[in-house]
Amino acid sequence: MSELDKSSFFDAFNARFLSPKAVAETFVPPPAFADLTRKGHTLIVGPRGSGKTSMLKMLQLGALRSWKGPDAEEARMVIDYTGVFISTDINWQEQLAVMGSLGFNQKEIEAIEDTCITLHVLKALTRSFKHRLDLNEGSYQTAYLEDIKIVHVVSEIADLWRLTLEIKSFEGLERAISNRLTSIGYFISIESLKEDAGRASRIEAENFIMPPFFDLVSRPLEIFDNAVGLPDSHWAFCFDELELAPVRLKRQLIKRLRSMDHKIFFKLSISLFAENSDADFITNLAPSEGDDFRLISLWYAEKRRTMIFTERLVRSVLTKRGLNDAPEGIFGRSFIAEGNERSQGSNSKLKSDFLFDLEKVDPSFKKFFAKYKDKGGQPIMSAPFRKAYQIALFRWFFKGSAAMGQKMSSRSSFKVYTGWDSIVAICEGNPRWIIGIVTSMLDQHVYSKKSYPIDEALQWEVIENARHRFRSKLKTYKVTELAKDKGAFKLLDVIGKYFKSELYGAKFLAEPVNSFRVDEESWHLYREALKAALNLGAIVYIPDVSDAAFMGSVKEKRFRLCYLMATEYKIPLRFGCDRNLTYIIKDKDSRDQIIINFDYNENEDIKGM
Amino acid sequence: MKILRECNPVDDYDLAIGSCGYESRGSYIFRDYLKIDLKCSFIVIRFPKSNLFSDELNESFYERMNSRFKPYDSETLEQDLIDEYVGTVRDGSKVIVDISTMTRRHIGVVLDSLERFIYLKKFNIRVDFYYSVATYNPPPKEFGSVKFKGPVTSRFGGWRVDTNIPNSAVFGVGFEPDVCLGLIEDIEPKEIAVFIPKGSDQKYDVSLRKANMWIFSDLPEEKIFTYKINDPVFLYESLMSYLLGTMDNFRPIIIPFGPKIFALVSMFCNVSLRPKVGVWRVSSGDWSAPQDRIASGEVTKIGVIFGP
Repeated sequence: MSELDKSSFFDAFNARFLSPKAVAETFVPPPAFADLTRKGHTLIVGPRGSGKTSMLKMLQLGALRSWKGPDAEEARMVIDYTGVFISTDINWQEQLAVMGSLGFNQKEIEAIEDTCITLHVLKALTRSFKHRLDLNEGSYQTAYLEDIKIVHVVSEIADLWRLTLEIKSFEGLERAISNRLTSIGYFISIESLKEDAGRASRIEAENFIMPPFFDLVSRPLEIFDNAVGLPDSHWAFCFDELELAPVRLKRQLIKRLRSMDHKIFFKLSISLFAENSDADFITNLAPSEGDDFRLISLWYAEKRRTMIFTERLVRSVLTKRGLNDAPEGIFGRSFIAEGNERSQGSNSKLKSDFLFDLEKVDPSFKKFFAKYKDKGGQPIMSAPFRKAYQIALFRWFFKGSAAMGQKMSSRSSFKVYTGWDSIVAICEGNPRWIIGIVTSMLDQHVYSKKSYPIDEALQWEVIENARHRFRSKLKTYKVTELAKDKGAFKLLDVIGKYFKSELYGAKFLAEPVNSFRVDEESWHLYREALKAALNLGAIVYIPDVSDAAFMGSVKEKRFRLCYLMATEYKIPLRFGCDRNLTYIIKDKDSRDQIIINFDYNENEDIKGM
Repeated sequence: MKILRECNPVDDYDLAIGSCGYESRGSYIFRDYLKIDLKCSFIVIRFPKSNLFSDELNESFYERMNSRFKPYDSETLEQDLIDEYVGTVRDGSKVIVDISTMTRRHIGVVLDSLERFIYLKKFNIRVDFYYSVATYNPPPKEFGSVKFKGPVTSRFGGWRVDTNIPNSAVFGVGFEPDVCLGLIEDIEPKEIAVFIPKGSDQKYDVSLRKANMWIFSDLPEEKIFTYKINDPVFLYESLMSYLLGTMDNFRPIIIPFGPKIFALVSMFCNVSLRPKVGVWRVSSGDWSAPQDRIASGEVTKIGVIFGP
């Protein structure tokens, strides 16, 4: 059973703890991967779950050697360097922050912090050395060293790192590093019980302090490369989830992005506005002429950019389960997509009956519709009307049908959010969401023992479940004392309700507002919430210029709700006009009132619009 | 640290530690339950004064006991407590701690202070921890924005050697709706276990299930454990057993919601397995209207021997 088979719903395909081989099992390269593989410094930014970890892990030897996908061979030809993967996690920052509160002074904290970071990096490097020499994993980037030479190389490196080895092998070297880390942990634990006086000399007596890792990797790399006869080799140090790393490390690494080394380059991933970040330190960081790093941004405002990648990833999941159908055959066509197709072309049968029903109960829509009818009273599917078509469809689904006495229960209204096209949109090109949602649907469908496509009700249940989990995550995102009334969850609720009121208000709007622009005032008041929302992927950047990479300054930028959250507010899976966020927030009271009147309830006496 | 199988009150405690706020169970253990004449010193963690519920009653009681009050939000609370121990706590002393109305942070600070004190002095002391179960109150509908999430105190953060070893999350579940779910998304554990409290009032069980239904529906049965609130020794053994069984492959973080006895026992496990296990707390600040928590009469207790 593979590691992925054992993963539970709660794993939601988190690549963080998967082995490189397990990541490679289902890896489908997103559009950004080709950019990442190119030699040189790279900085990847994107929300959590957007695939940063998977991509960085794929640069490791273990992953590249076991990758069997159609793009694998091409990638192996391009990647002629060795990737060294260093992960961080939520514990790192907490662990190292501990020392401050245990009475260690700043100098002591920095010294131990540097030491721990260095040891983690050296451990990752040692593993990479081992992988290079592993003849069982295939021939890609394999090097050979006689046993006696291994002993010499390891001894020389251990001397440089001031480590005592029990066994002179790379395993022994890795064990020595682990032992050193363990002993530091015990030291801090015991030290926390002692008086502060004399601490400096106790630290010195332990003799474990090491300089920043930058000073300790170049020479070992030369030793290894010379020993295996490849003196011109390159190495990529891949630091993942830097938002969880200590601030000093972040600063040091970002600084390195602007410098050149003949042997080493850095590939860094970061969620821009980390929960524990004390400064938006890369807000103003942008590649400029003379800088030698590439920026990759993983926000996708438009569905089309993610469609191909999503399809490929889903197909790989389906293939693993022995399903060779296209995704549309498994999940069905989306109601909206079918409607859109039928709305195009004068000869096709139009899904337009609802338009006539809607105009009977919605005078404002009737007025709008009148402008787009031909002499026979049939709709003219011009571009402006096609834009409004989906708006009209949602309005009828969630409001008009009830007014008609056609009871559209909440269970039926999910039709607008199920089917392949909708799933693509909702998943936002986020590999974690794609695999989490699709896998859940497939797993539950198996229990139902029905034929494909998967039942729409089941699809909707999975989407609602995913949305609930996502909202829970928003609720537990930490806010500062200043922001206590302005958490991400509440802010997004206000925005979502506003968009909902635009769509379902008294007056039909062909182009309702469903995106927002962060103005100065709202940025000042809701900074924390916006950062959280962006970091988690709850809001998606819409560039004013096509393909513009998001660079961290949120002010004056345009955003939409992620489509997973859009399902909460019954708004379409597309973006339209924008409005300043301050206006949206200030107007919330009147919008709330309209929404209260609107909500469909089977027990409510609907009196029409 | 050694857990005592039996914990019966003695009449010669050297020190009592409690907390004083508006909850009426705040002085219940010392005032009504123990039925012994406590002649020892009292140290009391004092919440902000208010006119609510039993605040004045609790304060009056502790004043009669000549308590030394320490502000609840003191940054130096640990050292303040240690300073009070000097002259009061000796080798072989017996201490009684009422955790009923303490915050999880306070419980952690009290443990830190005792641990540090006995390490420095090389004493052995017995500490009996008491917890008064409150009568049922309907839980709040919403959990406020999270103000703090992280180790209970710094010493409870644990220490990770290998960042490739995945986290496991062990939850003591409580009423907070969906908070566990949100934290799972946050910590991203590869392994999850939940411990569900069983008391004598079934209304708690119903509310717990409702608040946590999203987790229970997806977690396999073998990851769901129940514990009796009135058997903390068994809880300690169960939790230790689980941790020891998974610690080689995972790096456990315990997040104790629900009855504070679970939080206390979690911290015992951390002390026993330090530095391999983390114990966290999540604080949402004060969003809901204050509620009195009245002692139900059900009390649970656990005694430990601390030594250097």
